[in-house]
Amino acid sequence: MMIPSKKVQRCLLAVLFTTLATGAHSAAAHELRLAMQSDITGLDPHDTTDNLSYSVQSAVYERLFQFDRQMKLVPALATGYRANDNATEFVIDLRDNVRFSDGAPFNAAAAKTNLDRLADQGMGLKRNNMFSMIDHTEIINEHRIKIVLKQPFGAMINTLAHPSAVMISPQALKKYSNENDLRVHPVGTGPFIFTGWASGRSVSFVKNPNYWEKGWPRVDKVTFYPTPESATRVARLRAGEVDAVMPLDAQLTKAIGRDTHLKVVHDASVLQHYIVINNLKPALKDVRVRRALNYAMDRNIWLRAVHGNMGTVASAPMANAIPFYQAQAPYAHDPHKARELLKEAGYPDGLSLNMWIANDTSSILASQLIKQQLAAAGVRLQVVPMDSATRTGMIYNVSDPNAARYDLVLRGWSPSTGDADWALRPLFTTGAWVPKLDNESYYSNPQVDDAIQGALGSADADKRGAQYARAQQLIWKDAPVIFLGNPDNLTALSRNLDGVYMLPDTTFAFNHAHFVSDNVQQ
Amino acid sequence: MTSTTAMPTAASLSSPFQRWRRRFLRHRVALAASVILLLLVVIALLAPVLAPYNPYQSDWLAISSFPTAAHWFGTDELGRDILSRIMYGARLSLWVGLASVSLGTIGGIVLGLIAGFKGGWLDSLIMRSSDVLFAFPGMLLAIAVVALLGPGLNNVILAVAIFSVPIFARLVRAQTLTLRHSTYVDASRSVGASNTTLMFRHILPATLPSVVVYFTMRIGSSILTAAGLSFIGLGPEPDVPEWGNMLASSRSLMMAGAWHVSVFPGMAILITVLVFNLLGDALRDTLDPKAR
Amino acid sequence: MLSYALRRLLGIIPVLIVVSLLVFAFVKLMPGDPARIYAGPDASLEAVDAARHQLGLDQPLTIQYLQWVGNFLTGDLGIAYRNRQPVADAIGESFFPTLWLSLAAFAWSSVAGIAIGVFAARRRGRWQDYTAMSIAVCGISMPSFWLGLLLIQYVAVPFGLFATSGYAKPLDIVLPAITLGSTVAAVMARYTRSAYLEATHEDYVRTARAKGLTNRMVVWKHTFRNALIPVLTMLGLQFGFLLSGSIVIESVFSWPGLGWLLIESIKTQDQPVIQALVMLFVTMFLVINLVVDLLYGFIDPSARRD
Repeated sequence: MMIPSKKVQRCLLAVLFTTLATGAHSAAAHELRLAMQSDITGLDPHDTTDNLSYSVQSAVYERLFQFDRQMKLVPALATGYRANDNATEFVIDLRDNVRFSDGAPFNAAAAKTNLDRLADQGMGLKRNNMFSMIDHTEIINEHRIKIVLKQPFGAMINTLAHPSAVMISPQALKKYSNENDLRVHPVGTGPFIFTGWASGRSVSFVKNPNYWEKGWPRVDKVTFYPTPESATRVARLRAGEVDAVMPLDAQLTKAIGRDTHLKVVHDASVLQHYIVINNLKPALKDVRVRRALNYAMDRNIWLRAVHGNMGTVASAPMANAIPFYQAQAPYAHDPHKARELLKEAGYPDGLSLNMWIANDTSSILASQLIKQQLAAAGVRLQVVPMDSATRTGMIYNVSDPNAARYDLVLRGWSPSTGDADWALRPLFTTGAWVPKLDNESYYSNPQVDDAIQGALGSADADKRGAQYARAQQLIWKDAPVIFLGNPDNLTALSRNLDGVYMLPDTTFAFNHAHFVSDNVQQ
Repeated sequence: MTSTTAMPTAASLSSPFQRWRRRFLRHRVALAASVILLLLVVIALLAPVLAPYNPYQSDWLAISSFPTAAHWFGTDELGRDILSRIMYGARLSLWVGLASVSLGTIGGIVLGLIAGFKGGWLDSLIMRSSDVLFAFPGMLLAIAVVALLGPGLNNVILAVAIFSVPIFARLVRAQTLTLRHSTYVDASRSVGASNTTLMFRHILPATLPSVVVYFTMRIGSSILTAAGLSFIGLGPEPDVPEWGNMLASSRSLMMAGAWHVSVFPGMAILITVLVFNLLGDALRDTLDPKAR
Repeated sequence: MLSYALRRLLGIIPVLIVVSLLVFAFVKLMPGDPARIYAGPDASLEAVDAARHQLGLDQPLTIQYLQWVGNFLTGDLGIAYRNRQPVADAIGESFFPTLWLSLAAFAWSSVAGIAIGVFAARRRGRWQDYTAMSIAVCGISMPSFWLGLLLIQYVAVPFGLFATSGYAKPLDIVLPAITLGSTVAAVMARYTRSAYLEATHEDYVRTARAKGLTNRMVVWKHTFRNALIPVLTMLGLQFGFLLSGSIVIESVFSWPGLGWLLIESIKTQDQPVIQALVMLFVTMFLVINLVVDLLYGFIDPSARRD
């Protein structure tokens, strides 16, 4: 039997599509199939913490504000806002003529229902803690609301743009009042309508025919396939089983480059890679030791070997795409200086540390490199790969901070509000010690706390900027973590697919997905 | 009591061992397998001398390079020499295979002897426990042990050892049962030999041929299981040049067209396991000609 | 025979009880806090405590165990922590992919294994015998996950006929089934060959030959049929082996079956799923072995053992 080559198959398909597309509704559905690195955890964004689930949920759910490809704030279900000077009241105008896919209108009452749900700390939803500053929400008229805060919070609009702050149909909230039902019955205003989730296998959606944005969506179906192994994702793309993979491991860009009907897309990222240093451990309390660890790392080799030299190395505690970023004097690679600092701190023979890492291909690769680099400065590393569930359990379930068992943890943080507050506060303030937020270093510097809190007290950009500059300077000097950098987000797509990309916060966008051989319909 | 038990007096009579050696030396496959195994052992022992590079050292100018004159088997994703890593990996794989099966064998022999010789409730207890262990598919048991104790070479050894125990226990028990009432055991019992003497001096040696055959074959499958555990991320630390580790990390590079990162470690496992299987076959043929 | 079968069946029960205790101890000893996994990484300590109470994890261990066993016997396998769906649904969805894969692997490997075994035995000592047996011994020495990787890379990706992973169309079963069955085929070929050779040495075969029966008659009516009994027994045992092998192979091919589900739930520490799956694996394994034993005892009454 003759098997037509893939190129021939594709040509045939392209001909088929162009022929069919002249008819108004082609029988051949345009399906977008994506391979992603893990399964979603649920479909209620209010009760979700991971970027991958947020991305999939964005098929159905939309927020008041969102981010564009450069992490710039843009209105979505809102059309504009006004804030008072001390950042305690925000008046928001809502988009007209938007309906949820179950027919319920999107209006001020619907927005209030959702904001109340987010702000109600008794709900027990995973993202309630992000919205604890909301005192109440008032309906001003059918399309205008006012959010009143308990205390000044300058980053409010960015927080509303966080992927968890979506608008759920009030009808659905009533119908599925049990969280276990709501999380598998999402109903929103988004470009697609949920059709099914086969756990571990696929999540699928069809086009929302009444979507408010004219001309979109231009694919009829979207299906996500969880594919944890990075090489398998690429294998599926190359074999034509999916149209896009997210993310793409840098090592695999070569595998895509060899294939003429595929392409690699890379975008700058605000995901900061770093290594947590447990500041409560006797040896690691000493700032000299923590600086020594920072001098021991060759960030350029790290970026090259693990991330294909695409991205930037760390020059501040947060990515340079985040507003109020301020470059600091770099920790240049200097194993000799690192040894000197360790000797000064009383460790002439170096030290032995453990490092917890995630169990994925790129963390495993990075950990081997880090082990080598630290060894050159006399630091012996024991790497402990752990499944994410075990790891979060062991890190977050500690009631006595001194009982934490890790010395170092390799991880990343992506501030999905696109704002300096969410880039710094959860990682470097005393109030954010795990399990409250994500300060796994147990780092505490009252001056840093003051600066970050001070910045929140104002909606004025200059005042906030000055405070954040001070906070970054202090954190950089204290070296509570080993700063690594911001590798680019990589995705691989079929050559004829456009409008699918990763946002700087590592969530992915596909609402404007289209195959370029299509004629524009309607 | 005098030591009058079965010691052949005439040196001219060939002992069972000598007869076996003659058969073994005539077995061509056995000889070939032994030579290759010897080679593997030498490589493993002398890895620090023979390996051209430090297996943990990166050559940043040759990341994932194909085989060249400088790197015969090429380099991996961090520019480490694959040939050197395979040589060091031989140490680990042979050690894991030998250590785990030895532990399992010793445990199994002791339990099997006790069960077969003492009988009664002890026998029931031991045999029911091995029934329980047998109820777990092998890989499941190994995964369970490692998931509990955490990944690492020693835990892998323990995991593989545990599921070897019941096999040897059953084997030895069955033979003990038939030998317990054999004439020569009865004879030494009548002259007052202690139970321990009976078990270890008289019954144990008679079970050894089949134990040796199983032992050799189990080493092969232990190496496979250990590599499988590493492959699914339950083995030693990722930078350790264990062959299963190397295969696990080869997936990405292989997709990018670098065949050498996968083919060499895979061949290393195949050849090593093959040698043990061939040797096991040969031992079975020569120790017990009837079983052919 | 019936009472023997019944006795053997009842004999499984104490084993299952001990296994259930072991499985329970196993998930309780696993590092990590199930309540935290249920509540999520960012949940407050209060929320984690609430989850602990809701899941009954604050009860004494004996109560937890009895509750689990009680629910288990009434068919309630609990709720998975990760996606909060009934465990029974997850297992139900994964059961058939594993069954199809095992059956496909079993079918080809037993046919191929027996055919090669007979073929090699009938050409004993000739090059065909050596070739077949060399391939077979390589087959049992090959790390099957490596074979899987090679098949994905050099068959699935370039030709696009079979899926590289997952189970979307019937043809997708081909590569995982080849991988999973390879070891069994090799084992069966070796075993069949020696069983066949043994049978040819039996008296009745010699008698048959002496009576002047045609070669074909001897081969099919006498040798093959008598070699078949041990071969069938071995086949049954190999089916149990396939179950074990499917754990790793399914994760190589992301095959949405029980083995894959097990590895995924160990990774996410989804205790209710792990408990139910291990019990299921063990029960299936025991039942298969029991059926093999019973068949054997049926064929050869002297082999019945207590």
